[in-house]
Amino acid sequence: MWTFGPLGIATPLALLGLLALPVIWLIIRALPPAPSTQMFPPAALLARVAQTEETPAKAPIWLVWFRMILLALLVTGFSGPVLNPVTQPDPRPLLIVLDDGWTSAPAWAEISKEAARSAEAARGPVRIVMTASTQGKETTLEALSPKAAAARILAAQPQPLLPDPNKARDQINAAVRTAPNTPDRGLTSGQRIVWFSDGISHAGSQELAKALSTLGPVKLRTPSVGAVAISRVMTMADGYRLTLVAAPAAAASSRLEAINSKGQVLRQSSQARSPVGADFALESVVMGDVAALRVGDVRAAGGVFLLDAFDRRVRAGLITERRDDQPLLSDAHYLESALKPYADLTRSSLDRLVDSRLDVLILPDAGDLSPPDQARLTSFVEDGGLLIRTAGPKILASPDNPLLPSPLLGEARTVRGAMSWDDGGKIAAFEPNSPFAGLIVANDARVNQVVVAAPTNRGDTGAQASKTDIGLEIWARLVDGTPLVSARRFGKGMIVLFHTTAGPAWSDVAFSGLQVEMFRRVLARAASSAIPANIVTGTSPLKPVLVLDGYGNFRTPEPGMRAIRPENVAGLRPSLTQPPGIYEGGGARWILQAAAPDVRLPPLANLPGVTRAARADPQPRELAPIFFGIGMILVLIDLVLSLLLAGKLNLYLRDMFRRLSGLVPKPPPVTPLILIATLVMFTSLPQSGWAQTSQSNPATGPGDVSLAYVKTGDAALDGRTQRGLEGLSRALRERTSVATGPVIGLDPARDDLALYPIVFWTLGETVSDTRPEVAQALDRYMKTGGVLFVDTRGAGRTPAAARQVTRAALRGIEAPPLAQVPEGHVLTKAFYILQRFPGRYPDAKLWVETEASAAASANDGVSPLILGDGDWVAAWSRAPRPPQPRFDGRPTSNDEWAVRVGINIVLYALTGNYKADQVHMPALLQRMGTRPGKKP
Amino acid sequence: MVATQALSPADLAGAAQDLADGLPALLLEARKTQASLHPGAHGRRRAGMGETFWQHREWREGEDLRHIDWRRSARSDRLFVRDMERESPANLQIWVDCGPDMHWRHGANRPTKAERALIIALALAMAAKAGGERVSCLLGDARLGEAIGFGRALISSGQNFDLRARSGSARSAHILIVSDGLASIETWLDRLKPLSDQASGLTFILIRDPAEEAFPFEGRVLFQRPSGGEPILIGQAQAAREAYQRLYHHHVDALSAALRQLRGQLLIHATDQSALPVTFQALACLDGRLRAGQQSG
Repeated sequence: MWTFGPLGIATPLALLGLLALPVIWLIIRALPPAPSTQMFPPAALLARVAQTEETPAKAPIWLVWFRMILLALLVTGFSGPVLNPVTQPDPRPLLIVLDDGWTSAPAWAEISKEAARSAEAARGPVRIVMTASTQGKETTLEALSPKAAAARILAAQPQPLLPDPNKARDQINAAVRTAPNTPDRGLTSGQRIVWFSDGISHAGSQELAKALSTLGPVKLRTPSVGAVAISRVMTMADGYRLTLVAAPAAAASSRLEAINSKGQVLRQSSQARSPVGADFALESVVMGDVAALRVGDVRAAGGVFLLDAFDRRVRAGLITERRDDQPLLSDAHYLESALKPYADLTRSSLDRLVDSRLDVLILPDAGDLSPPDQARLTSFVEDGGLLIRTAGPKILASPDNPLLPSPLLGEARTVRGAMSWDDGGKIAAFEPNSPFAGLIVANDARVNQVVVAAPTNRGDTGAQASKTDIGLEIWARLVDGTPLVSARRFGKGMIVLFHTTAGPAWSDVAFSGLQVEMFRRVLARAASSAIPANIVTGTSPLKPVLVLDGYGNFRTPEPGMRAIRPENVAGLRPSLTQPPGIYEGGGARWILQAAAPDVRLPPLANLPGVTRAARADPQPRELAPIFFGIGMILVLIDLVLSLLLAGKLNLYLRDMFRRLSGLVPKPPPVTPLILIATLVMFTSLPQSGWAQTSQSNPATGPGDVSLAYVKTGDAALDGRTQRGLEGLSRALRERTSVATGPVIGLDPARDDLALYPIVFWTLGETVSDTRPEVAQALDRYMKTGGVLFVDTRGAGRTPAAARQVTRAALRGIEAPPLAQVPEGHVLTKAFYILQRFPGRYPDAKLWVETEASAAASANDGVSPLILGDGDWVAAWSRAPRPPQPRFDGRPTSNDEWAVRVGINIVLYALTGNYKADQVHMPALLQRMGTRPGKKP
Repeated sequence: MVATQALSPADLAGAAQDLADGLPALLLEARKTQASLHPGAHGRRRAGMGETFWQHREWREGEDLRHIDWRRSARSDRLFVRDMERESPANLQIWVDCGPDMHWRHGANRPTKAERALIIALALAMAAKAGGERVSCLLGDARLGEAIGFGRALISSGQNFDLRARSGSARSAHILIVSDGLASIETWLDRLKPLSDQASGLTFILIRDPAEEAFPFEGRVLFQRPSGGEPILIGQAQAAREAYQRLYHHHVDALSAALRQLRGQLLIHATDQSALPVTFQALACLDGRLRAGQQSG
């Protein structure tokens, strides 16, 4: 490598090629351009002419210069010129200290690229210390090859934690202590140390610097972009007041964003940062949806502040006594439809509902309540609950029930009859102080009948406040003034009455979107009665429900993350296993912020024994492609020029044109120059590049269904399962339209199960208790719509052993109640019609979730767990071709039966209860068959 | 056809074959040309050794008594002789140059020299046949019967000029040569001299591509003769144009002079012109010659 200033030459010897230029000059000068050949019958006559006229033509001087430049460019390109070449690599072992906390997140791309580059440029072994993700307990520091080290750095992501220099120091000290015992002499002095710092002085930074400087010279790199943290948020009436803490290199102003629970930005504000804080004004309507505030332009976990109201859906209970047989006429149906989008709605009888924690109870048209119910409701409302009632014929039975905003008249008022064409029954525009203010009144929503409040002294409800009117609020009226929605505070809670039916009996409002919006507004009133976060009273652990990554993105918790024990919540700081996020359990909720209220991000002072290198070395840049690129263009120009000079260009063009128009099937003219050109193109392709480390699952074709199985760790058993599923895959491909991909073995604790519609699990000879993280993963898989097929192989075991094995395997997995596959179950007809489910054992049995439980679950009636004892994989691995059917279409071999069972199971997992619809097929067919016969 | 190399024997055979394959089209062209001539069938319009009655004339002293038409003579006091029209099928012998040099054209929009030569030759042959003459190949024994077959014979006999292949006699025959005339004057003299001594007439139609006269080439050009031979490299073709044209015209003039010397006639035709004028000219020429030949015979 030669270097001239910022320019380096990788292979200087190639420049010797330039010496050839003068020689080539002479040759080109001497050689005239090639003549064009011309057929000419009277050529003999020319022989006499030629002697006198042939002049030694020389290539024109500009052409010679042109070709000289061309050649010089190519030669230079081959010599490998590099801008900003990497200087002589240092042979000392390299120790890279990487601050991988969220404070580095804004500059992470730059930091990791630089660190990876310096790792790759190293000559000796490379060791990496990551200050945030280290536990401080590792005893050795693995020496990596430069390539492996670079790959590891590029794969690393910033953690949602602050770097902990003390732990890093512990790790280094431990490594130094054990150094003499390790074969490669481990970490000793004489290191070259580069510290990719976040530029912030953390507790222990000084000590870490001191420890490092004993090992060798330390170079400190600080990032160009710093994080901004939100340390506190005060909720105001019209927005939030934030306290921002900025790292040294942070920008002078920051954009603030309010995001909802899906991570979508609801509002943003550009705000100059001040030490005091920033005000973020928001309308109260939006504030209800805000899940977190964050600093928008530099993304870091510390810049995200999770708000208490996160994912707060109102818990509502709809009081019904029994299921309705005429849903479209029942009030409860309309209430349910209106409330479902905005509340967690439970539908049950009152005694059950009151016991669960609810914010809102909805009581559709009800008359006399039983004394216990009356008492329950009263105490619910007095404790701060919101009771919504709708009117109807039944409510008139007890018009002076105390659980009404005001006593009612004993009969309903008809405001619009079948014969009225006027404005009767129209809803008036909502008043500004009504909760419904701003809603658009649908013109076609008319009310036919309403209940009206009993007249007090004066007889008119709203005109003059009387004693009973105190606290009564009219939220909506009809155009004639009749109240439509009234409310009254009651104890700590509130009672709201809709004066007409929720269903279509008395009004059309149910058919308009208005009713949904009105209920939504009413529900918003209930929000205040929820428990605030970070008050833990119970003793049950709080599981993570949502966590932040280093950039502050919302993530679902990973299996390795631990729940918070209530006794530890005080002073809890985020850690690797308990990252910042939201933890819930036992009715309580704990929000662990990434940036503590007292977070400080002071700049890193001068450290002993550390030299600062503020700017990184400029990146080396290969110039060869540029040289080759220009050379290529010149080669092409030269090609055209040569053809022009030889007078052949039009020939080539015509030839090309003919070839293109398909008249002459002649290969294109290939000149050596074109060959050279292609050669040059290939050699100038970029030679280096980072392979992005991908953590995605083994690729299958999009749309392919891959059968997956749980790896048991027993190689023989796993191989058997693999072969069995391959056989089943083949059978599926051959017989059904399921396009199967490769069979995939999974470790549920690590791999993402969500990619597979069904996961097979064959239990081994002996089964130890399932690990909790595996159980958790399988549990989540089943709850999110997956189907787990467990083959206990119980038919080949003693009953006691089968029970023991099954119990051990399912430990920690929330299994639904199971029953043997009943007659007519979808599994018996998902693809083949089956009465039994033979596997390797002909009398194998299958268990699925009981019908009652499946109907109640959210899994669309599909059993998330299928348990069988037939050892099917053994039969599938011999997967037979479809046999010649006997005359009755029934297969003879047991294996064929087993394959049919397998196909049914997979199709059941894929199509769900689709086939269940055909339960009514016989009846339909019968009806179709009999109708025409009845025709006269 | 644009050739970039001298034609190999195989190429030549192929070119001749191509020419033969194109004969029907050429023949059609030739027929059109011939029809435009409309000379009609023409007797010689003089008494002679024919079978058709021509005239009665008085018997002259010394004539054979057998010639007297007694039936006519009986109607008067004089003796009459029944004269028949003279029918002297003259002999037209054709040679069309189909050598490599003839398979050439400069520019795709005109026929090759060989094609045009064949058209003219066939048109003349058919016109002559319609006029009662015997038409045959100069070299070879093919006689004009069926036109396509004759065309084929012309092509094959035109590959080179070999007098040994000559079968008929040139006595009182009219010889028609269609060629580009690019062989040297000496060659032509050698070829034609033995013929013209016996023949009653010699017509030479010189077919040339316009480029052969105009020399439209520029730049550095390597000229190659289709029939082979050393290629000639001209550094600046445009500069050589005048000299070439001078040489070419000189050659044509020399050829014309040589033909005059052989009592022949030179007609010149460029392939970018219509074939009709030269054919007409040639026919007139043949007619006169044939008549002259008859008179002399």
